[in-house]
Amino acid sequence: MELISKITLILDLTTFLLILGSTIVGVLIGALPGLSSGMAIALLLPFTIYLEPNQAIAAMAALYCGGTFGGSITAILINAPGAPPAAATAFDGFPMAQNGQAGKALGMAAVSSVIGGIISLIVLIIFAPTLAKIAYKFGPPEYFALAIFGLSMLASISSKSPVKNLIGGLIGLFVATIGVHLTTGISRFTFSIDELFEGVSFVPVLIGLFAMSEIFVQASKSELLLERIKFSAIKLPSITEFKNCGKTILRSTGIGTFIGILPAEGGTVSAMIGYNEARRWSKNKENFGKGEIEGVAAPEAANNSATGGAMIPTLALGIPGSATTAVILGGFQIHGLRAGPYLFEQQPDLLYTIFYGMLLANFIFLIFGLLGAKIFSRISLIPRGFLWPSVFVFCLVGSYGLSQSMVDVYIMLISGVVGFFLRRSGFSPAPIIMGIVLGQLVENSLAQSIIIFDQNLFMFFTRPIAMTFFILTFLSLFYKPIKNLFTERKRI
Amino acid sequence: MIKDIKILSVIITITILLYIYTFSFDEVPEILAQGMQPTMMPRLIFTLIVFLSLFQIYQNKNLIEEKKEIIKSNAFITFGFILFIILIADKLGFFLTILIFTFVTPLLWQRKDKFFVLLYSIGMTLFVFVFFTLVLQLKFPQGILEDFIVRNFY
Repeated sequence: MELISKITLILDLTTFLLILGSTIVGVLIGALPGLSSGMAIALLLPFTIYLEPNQAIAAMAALYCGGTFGGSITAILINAPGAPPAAATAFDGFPMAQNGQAGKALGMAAVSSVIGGIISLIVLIIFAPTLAKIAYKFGPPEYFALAIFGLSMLASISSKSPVKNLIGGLIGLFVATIGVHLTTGISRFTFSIDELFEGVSFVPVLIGLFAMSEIFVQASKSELLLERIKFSAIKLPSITEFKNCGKTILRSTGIGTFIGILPAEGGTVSAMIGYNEARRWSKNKENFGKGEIEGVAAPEAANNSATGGAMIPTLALGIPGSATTAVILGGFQIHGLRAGPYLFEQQPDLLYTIFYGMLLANFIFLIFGLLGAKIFSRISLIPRGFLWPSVFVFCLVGSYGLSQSMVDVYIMLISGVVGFFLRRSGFSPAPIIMGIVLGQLVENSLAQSIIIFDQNLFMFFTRPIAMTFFILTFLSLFYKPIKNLFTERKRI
Repeated sequence: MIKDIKILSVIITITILLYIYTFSFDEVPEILAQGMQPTMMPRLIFTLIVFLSLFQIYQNKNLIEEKKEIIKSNAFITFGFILFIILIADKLGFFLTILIFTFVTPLLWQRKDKFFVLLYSIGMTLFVFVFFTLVLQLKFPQGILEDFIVRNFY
């Protein structure tokens, strides 16, 4: 009953319009190759300061949902996924469009996205408070072990190399150490720059790594000529098609929600696994890659269900479930909120606002996705020469806006250049962001643990929850090498 | 050449330099540090970065560096122009900076339609001014236009 009565939280005009606007902006940005929902939230983060915390976080969450769906439109119509989570959608979506079934592919993408999104939100509303209750029992040693587990999960996200992801995470941890050390008051890596005493601002680094580095990438590219498939109208899947895809959608939703809950894993991994599992279980395996409708339903259900899943550890534990939720955690910091179990005690309405905000976002992108796919697909035709200078303007204004300091603009530029060269060498910006977000938690919880354990680090072994996280960390880091070793031995 | 050797060497070098830099931090009495000197965490991070970078080089020992896409001159020109723009933004003011940037960059990126570029540039600057300065009341460096803006809009 409490859940139903809380719907009033999003029914005031400002909140409703914010969620509506954010979802549409999310779909537009998601549809633009090169721009992601994480980047969009990073660019808009400084301006959310003018909003109530609940409104700001709900708007960011809605943008996250819209952005995840938006990528599928360009993936299907021009074979250019607007965002990485939609990459798997292009495998069958584009061949379907080429076969004259663009409308059906878009319809299936929208419906399966909404089903995945809504089911994962139900899991969120049930599971997040339960997880938060468990997390009440966490002390600094448990949080330290959890943060280390979160960092170890970086080994398996986005980029091809697990080691590079871990290095990226460590670079992020280093950035988080810049500034005055809280316990001792010693300044670290400030190089006598006053603005660095309070640490490196999160927002300029975020904007630099996500947006500015992409501008440099785009500057080196030529104008792409993409084949845009024309279509007359979107068709909702028929009942038979829907029945045929029902199991696939449910399986992918389960996969997406579960993977979303795992720290650091997000929509891209979910979509790929969802797609592969759909192909494995399908009766029409041989049609995959040639325009199989299940091949559209699976990744879309998986990547959208990952949005709800990723919010669970983000809200309940303060550990980001994906790169975009790491950016949303930055939003929590800006609004003076601390994600974690005590958030539900101090801000009980926040969970409901996010739940209803994301739920509303799902319905909005269903309606606007179905009615406006033609317009959204046209956005990919905006010339690069106009799009990327506009992104730079937002980078400049956004990085300056929060603290009104030119130092933040310089930090944004430096982060952009560093991000560009790291990306060229196969590093992904997401682990660095995760490292920065988790940096303080890692150092503070370790410091507190050392005090609790009277400097005897072996005392970690006496804490069952912490030990469980350490075992999970070990498994996430060494499971593959150990498995490979055993496979090779068997061959011999 | 071993794959990724250049970037990993740069990372190792910078990390070692930063590690050495930690020796310039003040030492804190044990009672205040409570078991964790301010140098401990950074040094732990740097050690792990160097270890992982060396491990990556070892893993790549039989892999040859793939030919990367050459960074086009346009990227260097854009970077140089962005650097210039950011350095003068404070003195010139954000609005003139944005006007110049949004006019010049599309031309650098091979847009030929100067009239549309000019319209876009003026439109973008006006949008930033109206939305961020007048609506959100954000104060940007106004540079040489400060007197004009203060006299007419505040």
